[in-house]
Amino acid sequence: MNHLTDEELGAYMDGALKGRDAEAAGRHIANCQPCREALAELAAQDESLKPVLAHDPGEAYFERFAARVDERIAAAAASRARPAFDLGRLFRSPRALAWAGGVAVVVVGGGLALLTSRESLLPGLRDRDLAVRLERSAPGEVKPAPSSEIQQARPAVPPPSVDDAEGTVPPASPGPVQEASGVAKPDAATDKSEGALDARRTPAGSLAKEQAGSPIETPVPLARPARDAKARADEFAPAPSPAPPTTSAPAGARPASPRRATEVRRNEAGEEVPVRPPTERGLAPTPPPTTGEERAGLVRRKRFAGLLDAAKKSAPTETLGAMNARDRARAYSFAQPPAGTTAPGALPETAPARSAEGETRVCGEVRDAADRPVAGAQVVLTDLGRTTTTDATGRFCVNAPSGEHPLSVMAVGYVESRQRVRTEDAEAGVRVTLAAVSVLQEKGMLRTGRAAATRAQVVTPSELHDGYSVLSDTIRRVVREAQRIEADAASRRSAAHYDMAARAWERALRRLAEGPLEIETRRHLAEARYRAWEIAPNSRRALAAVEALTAYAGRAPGGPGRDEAARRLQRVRP
Amino acid sequence: MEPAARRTQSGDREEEAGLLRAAQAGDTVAFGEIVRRYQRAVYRVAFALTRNPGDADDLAQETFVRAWQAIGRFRVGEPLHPWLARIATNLAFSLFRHRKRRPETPLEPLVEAGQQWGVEDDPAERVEQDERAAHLSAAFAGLKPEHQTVLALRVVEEQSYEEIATTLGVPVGTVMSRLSRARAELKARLAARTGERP
Repeated sequence: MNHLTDEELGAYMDGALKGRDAEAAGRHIANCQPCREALAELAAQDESLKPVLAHDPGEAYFERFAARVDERIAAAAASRARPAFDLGRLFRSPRALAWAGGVAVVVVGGGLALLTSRESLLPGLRDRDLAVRLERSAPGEVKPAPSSEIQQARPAVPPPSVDDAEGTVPPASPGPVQEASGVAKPDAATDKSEGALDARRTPAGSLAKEQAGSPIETPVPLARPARDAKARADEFAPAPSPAPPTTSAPAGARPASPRRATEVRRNEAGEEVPVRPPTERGLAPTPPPTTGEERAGLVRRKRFAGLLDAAKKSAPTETLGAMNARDRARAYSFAQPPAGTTAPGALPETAPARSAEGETRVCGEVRDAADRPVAGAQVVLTDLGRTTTTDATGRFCVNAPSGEHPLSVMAVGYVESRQRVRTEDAEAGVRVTLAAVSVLQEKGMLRTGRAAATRAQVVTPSELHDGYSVLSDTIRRVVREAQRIEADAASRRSAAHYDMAARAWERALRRLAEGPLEIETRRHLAEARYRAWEIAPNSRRALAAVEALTAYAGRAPGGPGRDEAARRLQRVRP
Repeated sequence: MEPAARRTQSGDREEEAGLLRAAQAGDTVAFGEIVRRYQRAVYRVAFALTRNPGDADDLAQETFVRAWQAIGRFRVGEPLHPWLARIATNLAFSLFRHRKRRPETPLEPLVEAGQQWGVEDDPAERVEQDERAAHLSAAFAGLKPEHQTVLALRVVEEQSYEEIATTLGVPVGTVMSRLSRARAELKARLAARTGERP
């Protein structure tokens, strides 16, 4: 039998081969080592592509999302309704300004052309040869451009419409002008229409065309519209009828919509936060660290920016106000790079943003009983809810206000360690030694038997929600989010969605101190990790599932839940 | 799938049909609910196609604006997700074309973006998100738009070939060959970047 083609291999992997084809491909692959290798390689490539293409902007982002869509729809409707040419708006957007410049050039050029054409009425200048001779004889004089060229340029730039002024028409002001004059055609009479067409081929024009005729404008993939559909659309949509080309919004391009006219920055949650002008930055932001040690901290923080951000978010003092303050602080650090900082612009997202004064950096090291560093251990200041993870060398750093704090360190396969740290003593470094979990070796833990028959007790979202109701809004929100994603994953039976659910549960977990809810959350995490593995097994999911199941089983009180976890653990383990 | 889950799904579908009809009649609140239901899916597609949080946000938002403007033409009862995905991919296409003429560097380098947004995830992923991810991202960005789209819909959205065909408005056979070419091309580009033999 011939080898499978790449196409067949891919289709087999994607479950797109049906019936006999699938069977035949399966049989062949079972007996063909090179095919198996190719298949594994294909799967690995897809798998590694996933994290590159996926991104979770966080719950706060999605909470505001619908409202922002609403605003944008309203803005789009308003911009279409606005009748007059708003000069002020024109000068607020650089793109629009560039457009205006282009238009001005054309107007001036057009004026010149008009003058020239008048002059050309003079019998002597009408003769081209004579004009050229005249020009040669007086090279220093201002030379009126040959009329044909100017006229070509003139119609090439579409007149500024209302939307141009807002910058919703895509950019590239020089584009149309240059292109138009570049398409010099000898016949000036046809230039008008030709030029206009050329303008349509420019970026602005191409988008306009899409708007007018492409599927973007009429995204009706499955359903041919009912006869009256268009009428309905016209009736109800805020922006009726296909827009004329000049009002096209640039598709994916960042349109400088009215909202964007003010400078806006995005905080970690993906929300837009207006940047206040310098005069409003009343609160003096904490200056960026300048000492070498702190810079080193910055570099570390840059590497683990996401983790730290997560930890910051979990801090109880974190409010929207604080976040805004941080954004202001960042904007400030952009505007005034402090002397002595090596590359101020290079670390935009990690620019110092300590909201609380007097915080000390508590750093330490986590090692196991054999003095080997423990990577990926979760370090929590339980009173503050601040969390971080140890790096590959077992080191961690976390900010804390002065005083004594309970510190808890957890890692898969180790007994949780709890101790109290004093920030004053922390300079020397906190040293945490973790003992291996012994329960993993116990018989009961890995017993299957009766447990196999007992399904894990399922906690309904409402029950769980009630359980969490004693906690803060922030945590409840995160939990709700995780529940939603998990329900979504369950209905789609999609491994990728279970991955997302697991991450959501991990986020919830980071905000929880140990206790029954923490264990419940771990159970959900383990469930999501296991399901993801079950649907689409791969080494990464297996590892994550083992990790989550072990963490849950190591903490859960005996019972069907733990037995089920043990059973699953056995299945996942190679 | 358990019958219970199926029931919920069909219940959801009826509810969704109600929302869509209300939205077609101009009910912005109903449309807001539709947005909330699909915002994650649309954002996923948008991010996969732009790999830049800023552009993804813009694309996702614009997708819903266009959806609202064309909601009257949507036939209630058809699945909404492919329709939205189609709007998003079409918008992304014009973004690609636009960028081709006016290449624009992303707001933040992609690796930075990965570190900034992705590290919160599990440690196993963090390990993957280093150099190879940067190469992969760059290799992916070099693919043709239609190859990027088909890979994104398959790998991120895990759409079936039929769903992808619906979303893109092409035959299933085209999806199969396009996906295969996209994967081969990605592999070759990645090999060229990392110096490995393809």
